[in-house]
Amino acid sequence: MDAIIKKRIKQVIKGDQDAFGEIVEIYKNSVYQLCFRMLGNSHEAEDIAQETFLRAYVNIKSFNQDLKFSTWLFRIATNLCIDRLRKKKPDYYLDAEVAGSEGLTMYSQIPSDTPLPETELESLELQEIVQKEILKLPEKYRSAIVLKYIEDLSLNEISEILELPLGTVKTRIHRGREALRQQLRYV
Amino acid sequence: MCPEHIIELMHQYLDEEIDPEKEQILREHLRSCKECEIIFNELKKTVAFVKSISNMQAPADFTAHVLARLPKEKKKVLAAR
Repeated sequence: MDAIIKKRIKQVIKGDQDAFGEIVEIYKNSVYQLCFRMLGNSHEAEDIAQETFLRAYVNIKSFNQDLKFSTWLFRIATNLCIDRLRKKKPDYYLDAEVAGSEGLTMYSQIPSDTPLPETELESLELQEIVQKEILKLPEKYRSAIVLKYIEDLSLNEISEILELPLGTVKTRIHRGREALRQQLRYV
Repeated sequence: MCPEHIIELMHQYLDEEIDPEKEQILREHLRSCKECEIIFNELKKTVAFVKSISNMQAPADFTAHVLARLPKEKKKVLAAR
């Protein structure tokens, strides 16, 4: 896989756009899924996923071949998703950290131990419930959880994608897991 | 309230980074503490739920759309000048 990607990248640098199409085919589902789980909206997810590949294409010469290509691609996608989330005002307010409380946001101020109403449980598929709860996570926990469990990546890869120390990644995953547990325990 | 160090061991377990002695401590505690056992099971269920939604496909025409948006190739125009 890595050998094929390296070969395709060389072809892309020479101007072969079809080779880039093959790269897109390989990674499109995982990049789209990352964007969808981060943003919660298929239209925005498609837009940002396309933008991810465009950025990768334009900047392909700066790709450091010591890195896994997917690590670089996921880094671009995660950063674009976070930029998009910060531009969305209502979420911005809820995601904003409460002054003087490390990692706490307005979401954590909302009582979380009330079970979802039964009618809601009946009308929503489990998938939608889980997605909804992921979207309630502050973005820094959300990206770590999505990379870990949706993309099935190792803690080391996540640390490279987010450009954060391993310990920070672990803390974010632990807190994200704990927040989701509180929300999903009654499901 | 469950002991903080036991909660920490649960997370180490879920990260698949727990060493055998600590796993033993965790298991012994879980046998004697109903509350911790519930939390541990809830955490494992949460992970299973999140993993269960991980099979999304990009829209069918995704690659074509990306290729259509790529900048046009520069066909050695500058070199020819």
